[in-house]
Amino acid sequence: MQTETVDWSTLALLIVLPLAIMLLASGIIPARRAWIVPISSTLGMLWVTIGIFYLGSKTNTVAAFASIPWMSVPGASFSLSIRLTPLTIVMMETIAVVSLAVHLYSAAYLADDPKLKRYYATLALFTFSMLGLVSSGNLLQLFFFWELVGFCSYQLIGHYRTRPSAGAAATKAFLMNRVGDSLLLSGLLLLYAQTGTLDLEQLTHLISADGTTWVALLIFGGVVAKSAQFPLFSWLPDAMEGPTPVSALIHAATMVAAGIFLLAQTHFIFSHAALLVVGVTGAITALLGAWGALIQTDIKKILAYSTLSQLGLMTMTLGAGETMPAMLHLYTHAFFKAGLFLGAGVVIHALHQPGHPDMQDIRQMSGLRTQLPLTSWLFMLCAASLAGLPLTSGLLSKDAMSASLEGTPWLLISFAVSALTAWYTTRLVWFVWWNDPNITSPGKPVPPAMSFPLLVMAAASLWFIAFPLPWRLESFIYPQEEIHAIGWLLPTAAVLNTAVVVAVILYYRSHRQVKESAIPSAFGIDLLIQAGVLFPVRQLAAWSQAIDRRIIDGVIHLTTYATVTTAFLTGAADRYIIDGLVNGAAKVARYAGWLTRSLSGGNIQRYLGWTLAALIIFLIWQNT
Amino acid sequence: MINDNHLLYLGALLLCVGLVIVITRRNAIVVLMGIELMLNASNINLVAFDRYFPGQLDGQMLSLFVIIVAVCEAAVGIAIVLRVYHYYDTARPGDLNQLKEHADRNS
Amino acid sequence: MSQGTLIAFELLAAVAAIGILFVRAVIHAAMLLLVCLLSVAGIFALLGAEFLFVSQIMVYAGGVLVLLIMGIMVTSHQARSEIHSTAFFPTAVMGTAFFVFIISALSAFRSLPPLADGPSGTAPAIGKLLISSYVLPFELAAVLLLVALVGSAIVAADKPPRT
Repeated sequence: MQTETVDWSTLALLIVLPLAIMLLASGIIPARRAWIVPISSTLGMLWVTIGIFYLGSKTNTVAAFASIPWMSVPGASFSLSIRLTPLTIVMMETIAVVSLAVHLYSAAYLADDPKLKRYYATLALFTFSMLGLVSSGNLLQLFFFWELVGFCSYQLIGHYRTRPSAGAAATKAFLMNRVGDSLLLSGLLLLYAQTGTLDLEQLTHLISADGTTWVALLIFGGVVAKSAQFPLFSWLPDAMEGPTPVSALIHAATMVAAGIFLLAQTHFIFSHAALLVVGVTGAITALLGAWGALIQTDIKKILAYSTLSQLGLMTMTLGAGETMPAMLHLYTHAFFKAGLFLGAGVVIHALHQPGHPDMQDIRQMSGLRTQLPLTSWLFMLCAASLAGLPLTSGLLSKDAMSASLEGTPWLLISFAVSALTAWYTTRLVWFVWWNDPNITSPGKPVPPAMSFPLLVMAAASLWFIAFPLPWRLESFIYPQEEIHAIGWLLPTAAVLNTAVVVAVILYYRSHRQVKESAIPSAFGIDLLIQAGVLFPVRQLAAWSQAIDRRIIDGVIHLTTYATVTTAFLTGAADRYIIDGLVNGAAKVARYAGWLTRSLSGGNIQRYLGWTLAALIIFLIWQNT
Repeated sequence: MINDNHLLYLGALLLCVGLVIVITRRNAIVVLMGIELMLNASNINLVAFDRYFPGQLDGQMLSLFVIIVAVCEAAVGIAIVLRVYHYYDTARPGDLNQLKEHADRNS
Repeated sequence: MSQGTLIAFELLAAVAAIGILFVRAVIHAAMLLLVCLLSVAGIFALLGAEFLFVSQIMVYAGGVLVLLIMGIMVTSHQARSEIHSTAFFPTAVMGTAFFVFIISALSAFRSLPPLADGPSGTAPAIGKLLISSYVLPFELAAVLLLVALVGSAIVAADKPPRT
């Protein structure tokens, strides 16, 4: 592998710019214009990434590497490093584009939000964290950014702080991610104990995939939480409580992509057994997600379960040992899923009436095609990419995955999930845009700041985003990687998906109703977690609290009392003995002054008293 | 009884108690009471001394005049106390410190 | 009249006088003073000075004390935080020392003659003395009383007189 060291300052500027912007945005700029700075910075960052990407492809550089010493303790030292591989560069470009679109879109979508500055600051921090995550050259550094990403998603999901459900969703996302983070951290510690380094470049040379199954599984635990895999996926549908642009960002480029990215980045650690676990988890998630998307009625939740399903597909592909097809799908998925969320945001924005909760139920938004014509076509383009119709990037990347799975049992699941995807996507599109209109909403005009990002994302859903030709699986994104092209797979998939779409349209044309789902939220996983995890944990917490209170607190209180008593005694000694000497001298002087002064103090009773004293003194003197 | 001087002891006691009352009590009227006590002590002594000279009544005459003076003293004293009370809103000799420097108030 | 009755009156007078030193309420002090003055009047009676006995009761108990109580009623609206204004203990020590000095001086004194039942009926003799050898002090006392009466009336008047 060819490694080239690049100028540190350029890269530092690249990574740190959004962070600096976050600080700026929270301070100087007035709230109404808060969007200007992050948008311009993201735009500049995008240019830089594209430049790097271009340079990388020109010079055929595989990895660029820059590093400075970070911290060193005896026996160990860590460096702050940036490592750019084709994988990283593509991720950075994706993040930059989607983040820019979301920034721009938010300017219109959240124009009336009183907390706009905080929102933009967090959004910029989110982007910074994700960029830092993908460009991290060692796993410890990556872990810090990983935590930052989790924190930012917590902030953004809970953006509408007045809603209790938003707070609960944010807490849920945060807690579930804590589970994964603790697993990931233990995995990293174990890895460090085994190899003595967390540097990715060194690890690739050191590691053989044997004997690292536990490390791999622990790291995968982190991925499960971050990328919402089974069984820790239920935070992702709940995260729809956040603003819609945030959902777009989380689902497309930042939060959930981080897990897949980590899986791809540490792929060489995974042994066969670990890969099997990864694959099975991904398959379960893919099927569950597809099923969930099929029965949901909330537009954003349908998209959320769809994301679950696609992430499951990617995980499954990674579990089969194929990195690049999965990353390719992550890349294409980022654009059309962001487009879908932005389109959903337009719908919600258009149907929003002041004083009412956001309308997100697809049963109540039939036939919006006539009211939002441009949005409807752009949304349907993105949906076509998700469903896998011909000429879209979705079909190609999905079939790249399927092709890489050829000859394994995963292929069947891949096809099944693709068919289900086509089904639920068609259902969604049908009810939102094509069904008979049954509402007469005024339909607010769509501001250009919202329609333009949507337009870009819809355009990016077409084949040319990753492939030169719409009928060949030859991507220019990862040109070095070989994709097993199978001649018959692509046309078959295209025909199959199209057939499903047409069949669903015909089906709903005759029925036109969405049935209520009787499935409990998140397939009862939450209930299971409640009974199986939370209850024992609470019991354990109660017991440990009791122990803490009775024994540990007792000792602490005893110590406290001893300390306080000693302090009191010392203080008393100080006050009465040491201070007493000083104050005593002062008091003697003061009393002498008072005594002499009271001789002529103007108080008649004191005069009499002194007269008496004089008389006594006289008598004593006389009698002796 | 060792001797019969107990009348004189009572006079001495009343004198000392009256003196201490005059010096220490806060209220001006109680101070006047202390003065009355001291005058009574002198009366007791005068009457007791009168016993030494049974034929003469000079001791009793003197104590009679003491009573008269005590009455005058009480009348004028009460009048002054009332006047002061109206003027300064206090009946405490210790509070009458208008001619005194104020730094002394706190001591 | 017995020696015991005399000592009882003396003890009563002493206890009442010491009580004045310590009671908090001024009106209680006045009551104790009344007890003390009446005891002294009793002592006068036992010593055969019946004119002084009557004068003591009428002038002190009837006049001075009523005057004092009236003064108390007019002025005692103040909050009493403490009863002693100047240092009590040094003064009490000095008073005790003074008492001890007087007692020690008296111990060198020759004792008084024992109390007999005593000649009573000294009032006519006092009346004669007042208009004979004590006529000048008597007249001066009358003037003094008049001046005190007028003076206290003027001093206690609501508005100070013009000068």
